[in-house]
Amino acid sequence: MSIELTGIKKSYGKKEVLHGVDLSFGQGVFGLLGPNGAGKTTLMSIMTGLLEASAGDVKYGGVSVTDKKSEYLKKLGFLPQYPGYYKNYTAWEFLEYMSVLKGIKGNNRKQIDSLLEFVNLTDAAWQKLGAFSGGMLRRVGLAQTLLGEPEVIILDEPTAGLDPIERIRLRNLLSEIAVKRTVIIATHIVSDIEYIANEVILLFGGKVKAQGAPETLIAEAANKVWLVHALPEEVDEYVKKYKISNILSEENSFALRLVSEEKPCEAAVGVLPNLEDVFLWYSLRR
Amino acid sequence: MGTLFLYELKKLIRQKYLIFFIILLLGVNLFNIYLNYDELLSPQQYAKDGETFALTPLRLQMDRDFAGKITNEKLARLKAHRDAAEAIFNGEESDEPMYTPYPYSDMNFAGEIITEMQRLYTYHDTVIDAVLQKNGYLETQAKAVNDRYRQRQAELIEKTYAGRSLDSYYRVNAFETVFSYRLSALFLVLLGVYSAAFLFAGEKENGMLPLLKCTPKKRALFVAKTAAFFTFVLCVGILFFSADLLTFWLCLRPSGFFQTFYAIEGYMYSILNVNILTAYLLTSFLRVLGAFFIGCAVMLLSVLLPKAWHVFFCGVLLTAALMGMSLFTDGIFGALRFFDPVTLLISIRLFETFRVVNIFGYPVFMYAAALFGNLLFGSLSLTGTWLIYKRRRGYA
Repeated sequence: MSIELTGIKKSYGKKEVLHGVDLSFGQGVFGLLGPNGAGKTTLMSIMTGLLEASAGDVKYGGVSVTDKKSEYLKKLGFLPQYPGYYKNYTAWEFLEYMSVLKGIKGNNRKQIDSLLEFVNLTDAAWQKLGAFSGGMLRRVGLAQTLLGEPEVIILDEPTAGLDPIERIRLRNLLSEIAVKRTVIIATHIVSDIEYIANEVILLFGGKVKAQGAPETLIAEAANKVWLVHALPEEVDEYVKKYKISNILSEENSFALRLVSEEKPCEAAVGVLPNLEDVFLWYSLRR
Repeated sequence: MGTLFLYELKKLIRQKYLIFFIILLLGVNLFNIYLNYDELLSPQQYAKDGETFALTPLRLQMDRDFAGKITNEKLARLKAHRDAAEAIFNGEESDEPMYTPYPYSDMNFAGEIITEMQRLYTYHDTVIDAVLQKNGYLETQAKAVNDRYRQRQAELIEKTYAGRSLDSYYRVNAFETVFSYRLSALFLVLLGVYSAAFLFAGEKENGMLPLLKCTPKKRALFVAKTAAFFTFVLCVGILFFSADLLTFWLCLRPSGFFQTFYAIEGYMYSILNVNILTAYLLTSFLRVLGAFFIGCAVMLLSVLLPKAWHVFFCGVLLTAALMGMSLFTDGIFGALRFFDPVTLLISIRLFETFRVVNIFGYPVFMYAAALFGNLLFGSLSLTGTWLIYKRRRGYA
């Protein structure tokens, strides 16, 4: 079943943060990419029912989620940007508590044990959450998201605040859970979704700027990414004029990777774009 | 539901500060009883002929010797002892052994027990007339024979007090202090307010609210939270009121737990026809209910305000306001006290004498009216909390 968003608008007072978002999510991993303040969390909150849209509708399997909210929530797994926890609960207790709240019937012990094993926390199952590191807490959060084998998983900035090793570990877990499910990952970190997303949605200023497979989006940015070798005194000018995705220091100069519709200088060499370049290119076109 | 209830209870009792406050307030409470009411744990010492002794344990011995059914033989022995003590006090000789080294004390003690026995023995003859006069029934009856409400009131008085008699002597008057003691109820309210403050505001503070709101079991969660809170208040109430009773017993040594409640002189007009232990359990349960209903109002604040400490301070202010309201006994504010949980906190006052309210021409006991009003207060608070919790969107 798919999730359909039609004409989603959201205003806080007079400020409109989402301007009529239309999206469709089928099976697979969807990366919702946008800078801070683009409206990602607001959109995720509307999709989870935490916020009410000022206009528009969210449908799951063709039915408005406001009509069948309880049924929809049973099929939903959600990991908020700053997930809470009870420091006096053990990981196992926390998962059991959440499983009851999710209305999982029958013996949920097996499921909790296997989820703890999946997120590599079996040895810490009976330790209190207050003693967990940020990465361990995020993995417990992911395990609670998977309770009840939800059909839709929404993760808001799942790698925020994690060190590189935990980030990679979490990313690997995310690609494993994506089979036969809809997984939506909102992030501003391109590398979080670059290799695992089947489809990427670029959200800027509350509007969807692009949606497609990463290869398609990357292909659109062909001939727009350049490598320029600049003297130190020229760097400032390039930074002011272009979107720079990378600066590499060389012996007497700097190698600048930049995004531009036109060739920035005669000596510029066209290079193959990546998703980060696409993100920058669309930010140019706002 | 059971699992959810247990987890909500765990959340409450695993709060370090709450456990600390329970132990602290329990200690303060027990020390206060010891400081103000102790007669036996460290009784006042007197000196005579180079020896020190305490009078209170000796009086206690005398009480024990004459405890039980009041008989002519016991009264005669007491009178003889009193006369012998008086004779010794006046410089005459007597073979009667004295309880204390001071004949004057023996004379007083015996006199007090005789007076108390006479009060108990004549209780049946005095109580109904006294209650009727207190309620102005006799005068009204003389003026208006056809006053149906007054007639119903008189019937209720008859029904309540008929057949009452007292025929045993015990140290029951020491229970008056136990029943009128209020500090533990105040502490129970404070602990209730503290724990209720965290029920919803605590979820906002630790970031769990978005996750909880994205689950389909909102109603079950609300019921589990409320049930866990009630259980917590009940358990803390049992702890405090049991500790009160034990400490008072150690300090005052009252006896006659299974004597009728109205045997206590201060509660001789009480409408309760149960034994002292049952009356203690009943009034303690009502005090627990009072603390719970105040907690229900605090739950409403907890779902509205973002920080648990804000809720706690507002809850304390609310409690103070409710206590202030309970002082009004006339006019519109007087009627409001039926909806004021503080009325249940001082529940003994609801039973100490015959007090009724006129509801559609029928006399209804104050405790019934207060219980009904408080149930309404609690229900409205809980309904408000549920509606706001259910409808409020976002992360707070």
